Amino acid sequence: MAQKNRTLIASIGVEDTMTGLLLAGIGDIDSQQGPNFLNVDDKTDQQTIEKAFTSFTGRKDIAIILINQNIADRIRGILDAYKAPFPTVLEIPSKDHPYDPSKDSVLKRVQLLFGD
Amino acid sequence: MPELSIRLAIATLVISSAAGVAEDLAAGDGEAVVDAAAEVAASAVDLGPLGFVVISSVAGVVGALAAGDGAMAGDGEAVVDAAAAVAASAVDLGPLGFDDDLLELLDMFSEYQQIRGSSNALLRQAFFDLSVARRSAGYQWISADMYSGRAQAITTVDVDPIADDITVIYRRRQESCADEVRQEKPREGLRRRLPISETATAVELNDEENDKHNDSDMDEMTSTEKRNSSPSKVRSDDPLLWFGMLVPPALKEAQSGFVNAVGQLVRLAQLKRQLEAKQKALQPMLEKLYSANNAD
Repeated sequence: MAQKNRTLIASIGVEDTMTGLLLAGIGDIDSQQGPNFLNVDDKTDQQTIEKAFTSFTGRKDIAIILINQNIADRIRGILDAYKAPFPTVLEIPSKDHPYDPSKDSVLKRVQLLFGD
Repeated sequence: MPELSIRLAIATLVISSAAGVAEDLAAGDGEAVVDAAAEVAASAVDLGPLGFVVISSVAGVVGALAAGDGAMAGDGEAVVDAAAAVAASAVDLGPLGFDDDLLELLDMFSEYQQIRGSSNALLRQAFFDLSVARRSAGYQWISADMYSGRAQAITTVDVDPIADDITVIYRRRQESCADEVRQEKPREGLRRRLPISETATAVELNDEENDKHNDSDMDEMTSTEKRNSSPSKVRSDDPLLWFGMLVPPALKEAQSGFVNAVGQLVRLAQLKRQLEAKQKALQPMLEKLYSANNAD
């Protein structure tokens, strides 16, 4: 099964989030595919984020992509168009941007389901 | 399937109740109409929240006719047909376990909200600990510049495609220690002298073991294993070491917080997948329900 090889958790986030998640042990640098994380700062442009996201979704060893909600807003179009079950994309809060339920895709889907 | 038979029985009851309303309506008996409509509503409650929506639309049809003029009241057969058509949609919903699926979806959503709240709290505390560690050690020592270029994932997930389950696996501590012990075992010919501080412990261990086995080689191996499995042993691939040998305690607390948060985030990701799958399954039936409701 292809999913059996999906063992990694990838991440796109600001420095605090990345440092924390790397401390938790999710970081992996593959000699061929590169790192499974992207540290986003003020200088990181949208294209770089989009490229990293597309790269992570195309990898066969990644099961989950964690992305800061404020960064997800910058690539909302790509995120909304992404429908594949694996890797699963999950938006998480950052230190400076608390979780906003109104931007949660799960919440939006449930509201849509009930016609709100 | 008992649930199906119950639903069919209730739906039949609803249809007959609606027919009763129509007949009373045709006969011009206002009080009987009200009673029969109440019976329809009671049956709808038995069908659950969605059944209630569907069947209340039956009551709506009948109620509208009851409020109408005499010309409409005379058209009893049309009322029965309309009521039966709407009630039939309720029967369609029954065999598919629609209500159960919907309740399951709501349960999952409730769990999602709970875990979202707890993971947010864990992350908030971990961010705070990280800030304290930075303040203590200095910003330049805990930054992206210190990330290792040879990082290997020690926290991974296991995807079970059959059970549609994602579980998180922490390979920290126990597995690495076990590896180190395994590396020590083959070196039976070369004995390493113990440091002075550890000799006493080793001697004590040897004395205890001599009482049992009287085998010195086995005793030294035991002491080696005990040293390796001591909690003070630091893993060579622990990301904590990227930031120095002597890191602030707050950084260790932050690490612990992020490890716990990752476990919760993995569960969230799994719930998200399940919610999306359930939503896809329910979408067509809900659309059918809404269209039936709007038609009334």
